[in-house]
Amino acid sequence: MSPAPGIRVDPTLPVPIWSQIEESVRHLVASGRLRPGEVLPSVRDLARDQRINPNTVAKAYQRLVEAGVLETRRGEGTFVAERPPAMPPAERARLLREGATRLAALAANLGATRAEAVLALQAAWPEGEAAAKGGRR
Amino acid sequence: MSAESTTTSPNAIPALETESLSVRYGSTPVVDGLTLSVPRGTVFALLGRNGAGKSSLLRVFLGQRPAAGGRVRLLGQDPWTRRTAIMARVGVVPEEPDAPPEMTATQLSALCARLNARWDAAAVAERLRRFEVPADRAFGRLSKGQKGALMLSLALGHSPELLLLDDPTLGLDVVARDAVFQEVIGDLADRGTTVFVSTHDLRAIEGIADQVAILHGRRLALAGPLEALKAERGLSLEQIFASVAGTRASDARPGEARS
Amino acid sequence: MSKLLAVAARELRERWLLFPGALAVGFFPLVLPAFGVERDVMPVVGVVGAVFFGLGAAVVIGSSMLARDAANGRLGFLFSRPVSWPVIWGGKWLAALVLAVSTGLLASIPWMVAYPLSTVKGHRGGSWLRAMSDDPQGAAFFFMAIVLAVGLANFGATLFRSRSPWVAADLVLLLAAFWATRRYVAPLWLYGVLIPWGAWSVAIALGLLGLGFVAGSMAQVAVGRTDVRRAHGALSLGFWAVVGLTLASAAGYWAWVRSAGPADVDVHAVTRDPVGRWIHVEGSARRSGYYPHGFLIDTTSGRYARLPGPLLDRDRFGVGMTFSADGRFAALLSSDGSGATLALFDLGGGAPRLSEVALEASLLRTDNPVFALSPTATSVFVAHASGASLFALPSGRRVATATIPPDWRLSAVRFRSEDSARAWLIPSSRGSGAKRPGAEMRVVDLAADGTATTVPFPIAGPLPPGAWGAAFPDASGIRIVTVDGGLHLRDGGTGELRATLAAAEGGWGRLSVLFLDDGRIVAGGPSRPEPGPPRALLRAFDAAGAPIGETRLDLSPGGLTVGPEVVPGRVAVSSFRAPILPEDTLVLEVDTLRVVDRLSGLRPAVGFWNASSAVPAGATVPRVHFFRDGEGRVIRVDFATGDRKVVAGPGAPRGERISAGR
Repeated sequence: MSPAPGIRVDPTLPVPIWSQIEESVRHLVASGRLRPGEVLPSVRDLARDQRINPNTVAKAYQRLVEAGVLETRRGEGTFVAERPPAMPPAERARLLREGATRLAALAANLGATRAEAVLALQAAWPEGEAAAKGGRR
Repeated sequence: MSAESTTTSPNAIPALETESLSVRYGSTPVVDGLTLSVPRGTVFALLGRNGAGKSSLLRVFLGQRPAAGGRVRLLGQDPWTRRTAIMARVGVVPEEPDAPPEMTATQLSALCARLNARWDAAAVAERLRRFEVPADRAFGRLSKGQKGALMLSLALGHSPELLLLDDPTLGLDVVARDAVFQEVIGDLADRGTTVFVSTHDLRAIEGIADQVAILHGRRLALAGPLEALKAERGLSLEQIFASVAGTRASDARPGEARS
Repeated sequence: MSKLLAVAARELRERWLLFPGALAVGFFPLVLPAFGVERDVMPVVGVVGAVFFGLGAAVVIGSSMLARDAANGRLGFLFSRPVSWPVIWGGKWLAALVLAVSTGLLASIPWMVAYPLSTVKGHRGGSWLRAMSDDPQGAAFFFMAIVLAVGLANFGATLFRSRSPWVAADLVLLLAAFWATRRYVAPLWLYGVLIPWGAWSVAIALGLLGLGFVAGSMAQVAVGRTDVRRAHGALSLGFWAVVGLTLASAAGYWAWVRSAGPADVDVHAVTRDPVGRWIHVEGSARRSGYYPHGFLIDTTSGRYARLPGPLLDRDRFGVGMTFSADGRFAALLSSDGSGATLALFDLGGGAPRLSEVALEASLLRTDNPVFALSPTATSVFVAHASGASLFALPSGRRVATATIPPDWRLSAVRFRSEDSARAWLIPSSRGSGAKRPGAEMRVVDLAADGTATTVPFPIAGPLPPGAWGAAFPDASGIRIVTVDGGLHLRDGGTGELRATLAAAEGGWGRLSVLFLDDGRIVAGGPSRPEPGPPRALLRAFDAAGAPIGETRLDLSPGGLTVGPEVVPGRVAVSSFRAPILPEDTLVLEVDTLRVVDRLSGLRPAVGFWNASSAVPAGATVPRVHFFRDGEGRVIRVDFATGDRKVVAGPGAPRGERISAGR
């Protein structure tokens, strides 16, 4: 019976418990305290630990799975998704294209070539990751 | 909500259902016109002040007393006439522990094994170990918490579909209370047991109950899914309870009588 | 079954201490002799101890298994599990019975081993085991006592713990049950209705009581369940339903018993009025054991009155009813410990009217019951403890008394007139065959003006044993025939010898003498011809005592009875070999001493010892007489017309019942 690292719930709050769980998990994943691929406490364990209804836990987990934050592996439990997407793939594709289009346009304005733009992207990659991690709520 | 329909799948039949149920204690009416429904697999909390009403009501649910009026169905059947069959699928933890005081936990488990068609003695023993209840001490010499734990273990030994708890935390400290509900939650998670809790201890059930009903005076002052009620009012359960139980039944707004 | 045994085993386990306790009690009889208690008494002590321990255990478990467990919630443990109510009820009762029986047995083992049955005085050996198995009745009775103990303890405990208003109802019903038992069940027992059932009647009564407890406790578990108050209500309902049904059945049975009429009884005894209209009949009916039904039957119309019950409550004076000479009144004498009461029936109107007259008398003489009514029932003659008295009717006031010493008895009594009665006393006989040569008899005259005279006179020889058969007076007591070593005709008032009818004979059996209406005398009895067995001999004499003739009769000589005079000049003569063997009655013409009629299988109904078959002075000889056959019937024979009809007993017509009012 491993206590969930940081998943805390206060039944007396007006916020629905499943919502509290969801928020808590998202926060833990976003802050890196829950890493991708890490196993989450079972519905049973979390319910017991927090003295809450397992159905509520199940509901929260279900929503997180649908949102792509978590994924279930049959027989093994619930895990943090490997690459928890912030948005649906279609939307992601669109935003990437928009960002890429802006970079291409900027490079054209500066008279840079495609190869220069790609080099600049590669160089900027680590900085961008760090900024994204810190900026997520 | 026709519980007698044989074409309905078992899971659609509410675990417990009443219709205009009236209950008397002696010649005094304690519950009037009670209508509620406990869906399968949920945790239903009946809240109200401590008094003879809730326990008498539970006795009626269990077929140990007849109703004074109205209808009650336990797992789809009339508990007064079908008690023996129904009790094989129901686990009961009464307010006052009623096991014979001279018997030890082991003996009680053996007795229940003979009284029930199926009995998981190993699971019972495992629960007792988890609760730290000595297996060979006479029931009468156990502490209150240990007695309650033992009663719960015995109630779960035949894997009931419905678990009825009458004030399970009365007189228990926080640790014991948490242990009890952890056990209930575990069972609920494992088997989808329906749980009916009658209590006045709001803190204990606040995170667990799917549905609540508040008994005030002789009637149901409020009933419904807990989360929805809390969201609607933006109040905690304690605050909701105080607002309802603090008012007289006649002051309750029409919409609050039933959910 | 396994669930039932589990329930029972748990009950036993809770009370396990009673088992070693029983064993300890069983050792008492081994320890007591050390304290000087007599050894021979020990087996009795042992039995008593074992029985009481078993019953005590029954009470202990009976009072707790349902009532206490319901009150403290423990019954809920079983009811919250898939255990049906018959299993709960059965398991607990089984435990109760097993506990009581086994502790009783356990408490017997130590002393039965220490004092083998062969060492107990009065037993010829064998073992305790054999003695117990040979007495299934005792075991059954013990078992029933246990059931009652358990049931009663349960009832009491439930009553006590419910604290509900039902208790008042139970008390009321209990009082009602006591009243009903006293009124309907007690008479069944006291008046002999149930005697043929013997010990079964007690067994059935206790069994029904036990059934009431059992049924009540079933209802208690099935309906009351875990609620003590409801359980009490159900228990009461179940119990009182059974008890109520039983009492109602008993009341119905009692009513059926008392609805028997003359056609339903086997007649044991019958007395008749002198005019041939009313008879008093006593008998038992198949439906009612030994209950003595009594009827006054108007044989001309078939209407009958049942004698009221309260007359049964008192000691019956084994005499039967006596009628006045005019046939208008009948009387029954009884005593109830504080004095004598005459139940006087006025038969004059449409229905008999009863009035009860308390006689100013001390206790009645039961060894020599004699009483007679005056011809129109204005006075009654009664023998009592210190003598005999004349009482006026209807006041019951004593008007004349004669002292009779305790070694004297009354042999016969006649009313000489409305105001005077005459009785003849003989010395009391010790054993059979009092031969007291030189002894005497006495004549007692009582008159309504209070005079009482006693006149002794010498008799010629020994009197026959017993009180009856020594003196035969005529209807008005003027003349008397004494059987004193011969047959002597004497003056009724002085005893002076007028004629010797027969010399001394070695007699056995009895002589029977009858005065006819015209004064002639007929005597019958055994005589022994020179060779051969004794035979019945009938002799006739004229009014002065001169012999007219004699004849032998084809009847048993031993029990010969002459009388009644069926029509003027004809007498019936009967005998009996044994009470149950019917014999014929012969009717003889006295003029010719020839048999003119034979009534086969019938004997005259002359009633009780003291009934006089003589016709009272001044009355016409009735033509209607009553006879009994060997099957409990009374048959009315009209000698004028030859008609016969059954008036009582099997085959009698169902007459109309009238009530004997007051």
